[in-house]
Amino acid sequence: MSFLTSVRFGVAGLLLAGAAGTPALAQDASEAEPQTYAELSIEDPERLAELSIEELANVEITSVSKRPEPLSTAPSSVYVITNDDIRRSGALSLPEALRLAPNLHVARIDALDYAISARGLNGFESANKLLVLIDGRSVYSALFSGVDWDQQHVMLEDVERIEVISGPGGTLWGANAVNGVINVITRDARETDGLLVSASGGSLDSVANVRYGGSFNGGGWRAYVSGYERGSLEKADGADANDGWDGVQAGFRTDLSLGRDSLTLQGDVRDNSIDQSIGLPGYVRGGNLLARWERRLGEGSALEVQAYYDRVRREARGIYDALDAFDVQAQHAFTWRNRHQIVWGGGWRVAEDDFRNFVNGFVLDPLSKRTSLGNVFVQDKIQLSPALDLTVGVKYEHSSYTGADWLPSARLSWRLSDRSMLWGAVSRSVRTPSRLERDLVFPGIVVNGTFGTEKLVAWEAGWRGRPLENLSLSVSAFFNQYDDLRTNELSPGGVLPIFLGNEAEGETWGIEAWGDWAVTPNWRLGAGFTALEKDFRSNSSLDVSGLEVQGVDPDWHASLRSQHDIGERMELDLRLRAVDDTPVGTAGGYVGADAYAELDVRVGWRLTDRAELSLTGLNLLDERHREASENRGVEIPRSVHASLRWRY
Amino acid sequence: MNAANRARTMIAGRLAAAAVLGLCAVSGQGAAAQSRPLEYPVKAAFLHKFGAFVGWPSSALGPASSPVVLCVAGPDPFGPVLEQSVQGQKVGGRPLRLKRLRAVSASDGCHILYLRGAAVADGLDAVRGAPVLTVTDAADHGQRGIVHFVVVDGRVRFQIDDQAAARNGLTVSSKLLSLAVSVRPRDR
Repeated sequence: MSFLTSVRFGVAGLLLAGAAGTPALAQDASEAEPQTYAELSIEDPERLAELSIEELANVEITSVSKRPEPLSTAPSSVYVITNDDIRRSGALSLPEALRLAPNLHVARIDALDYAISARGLNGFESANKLLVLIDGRSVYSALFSGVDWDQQHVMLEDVERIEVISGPGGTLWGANAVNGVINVITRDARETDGLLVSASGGSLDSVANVRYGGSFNGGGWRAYVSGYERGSLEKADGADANDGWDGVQAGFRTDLSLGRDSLTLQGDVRDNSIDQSIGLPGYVRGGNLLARWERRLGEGSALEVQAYYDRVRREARGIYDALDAFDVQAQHAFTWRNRHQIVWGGGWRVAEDDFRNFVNGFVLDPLSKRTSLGNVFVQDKIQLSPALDLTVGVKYEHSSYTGADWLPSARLSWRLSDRSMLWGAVSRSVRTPSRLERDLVFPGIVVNGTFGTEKLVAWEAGWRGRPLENLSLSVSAFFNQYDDLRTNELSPGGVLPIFLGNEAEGETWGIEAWGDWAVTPNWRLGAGFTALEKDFRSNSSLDVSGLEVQGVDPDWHASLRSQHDIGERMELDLRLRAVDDTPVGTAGGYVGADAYAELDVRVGWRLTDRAELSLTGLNLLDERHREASENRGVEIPRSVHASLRWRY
Repeated sequence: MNAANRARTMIAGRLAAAAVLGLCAVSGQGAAAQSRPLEYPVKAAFLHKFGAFVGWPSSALGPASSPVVLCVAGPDPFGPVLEQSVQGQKVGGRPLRLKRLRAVSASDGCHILYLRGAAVADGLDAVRGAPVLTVTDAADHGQRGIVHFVVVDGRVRFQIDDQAAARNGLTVSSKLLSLAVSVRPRDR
């Protein structure tokens, strides 16, 4: 397996090594309801009283079909990170903000890379089953099946919320929404009026943002520019890991309503330099442009069409890759015979790539290729009784590599009372092969063209409730049956070349639980806990990757959070998180990470009501700690930063 | 040609003319009002939720068992929805009581006061300096209370005048301030 480790850092490494990558390609993702709160109807005004005040502020009052589903009635495991949660966490980047979701395991591998997954199979090579959307645009790479977290910068001050769904979402979102979906939703431009300047600097990361927004009749716009530096992490002995990098990003968003039509146009461009990556020059440049049009057709009916273009050019760590994706999708939602809320639609995505490897002999054959993915779907939410809703749906998806796949699901929600509900679901999801998984070759060592779709059948159930006015709780349990997972197979006779097979299978099961308690109007406590067990094996196969596909997951992780307003002008925020041992696993090249507990503390002052100053300490309990099992030899040091935010 | 079509045609014709903009704003609003079945139910839910995020002087609330009083004055846009919404609700462990007023005076004992139409100006005057959370509505185009409902992107949101809250001796939690579309800060 030496060839595996030789390219471990590069994208090619990913692929090969575990053969596995991160979430799978692209695909389509995006679909249908980028906003997940969505869609239960609130026929009953009294039920509005069950919502938290944030949920209430997000209830769409204008159209029946797009009525946001209050979180308390969504028949899935959803955690929502609010704008205020992000501000009070002191997080300076999107992956750091995702640590707030108790249903995600976030492991920082080095200054550039993260492994982030829900419900296990985490790891740089194996975290390929989580779909990530930013304002409806999939950032799951069609090239290598995964998310390049270093490329996903958003101005956190303008994020409305981040919805983290653990569990499959294939019926609405399509392939690769296997273990979960993350929806990052930025604020409507009409809500970001005026000038905002923020700057954070400290011992590790720094960010500076300027945003200006204005309004015109029926609409609003904003434009921003954001510069950021991710400081170098440390080697175990405290030496500089030399993996820091920096970048600048600018973008805009405009939202406009014209009677029954709404229009959104937004885009970003960025230029990151990764010069210090293993001593070679590196950069990531790219941009995107998205348009979304929605028309309300009256009586619970709405039509939505969205299209975007996304472009990335990246050269880092000896690998150059380029990806251009164009994605268009449409959906129509309507109510039929009062009891059926139906959504149907389709989408088409085309991606063209180019991949060069300067560090070893792995190449893509052909070097550049256009792939496509199309889908149609329908979902019906049927009100069986006032307390019982059944949601059934299916998506048909066609990919250029693997042809047709069916992604069905059935979800049942049962409102036990005004304050609590039970839900259950069974669904099938798939991960389609990425370009690397399909076309990577090394003459004499690796041959291509054999890898097929990975499959999951997931069983889930949960309870969610608000037993007291100021206490909300959620508990979910899941049992996942994976099949046809990626393995690295030797040719007959146990000789080279290696090819990618689908010979692994396994099960995971576990629970996710969290709660939020408003102890007083000025003091809020939160807690979260996730536990995971798994059992994987490869059938009649050697799998020279050592079953890397199963990931390296801690048995449990937990968090406690306190948000305290002290007087009128001061905030004290504490966050304690604990993660069990991250195992070495059976695959080569992993070193494991010891269990750790870390404390983050933030103190904020409202200097005036336009200016806020805060001091944040992150990872305070250890001088440095390791989070990922990957052998990068990099650890995360204790850090502090000061932030100033001013708006006018 | 219906209102929405007319507005669209006009916009296509020329966005710049102020008169046109005025027209489409009006017609847009009319169209929107018809298709907002949840606007007032959501506002009603907000009215009692606000209580948990506002601090009154203890003298204003009375003994621990005494109710928090939610008053509505002026033309009533809620109808029975408001009663349903506040039924059985508590604010900080205190029962919530609903009062509908014809005219507002400081002696009504209101803690939260929603004002509409002609009641806005007099109502704000009557409780100025008293520990009352005044709530007004952008639908009125009139004076603003401490909390001012606006509809943004199809959602009910609000602006907060924290300076006015300070004048009335109230504290507003940072949670609520963070949910506001805009905040007029209190002086130090």
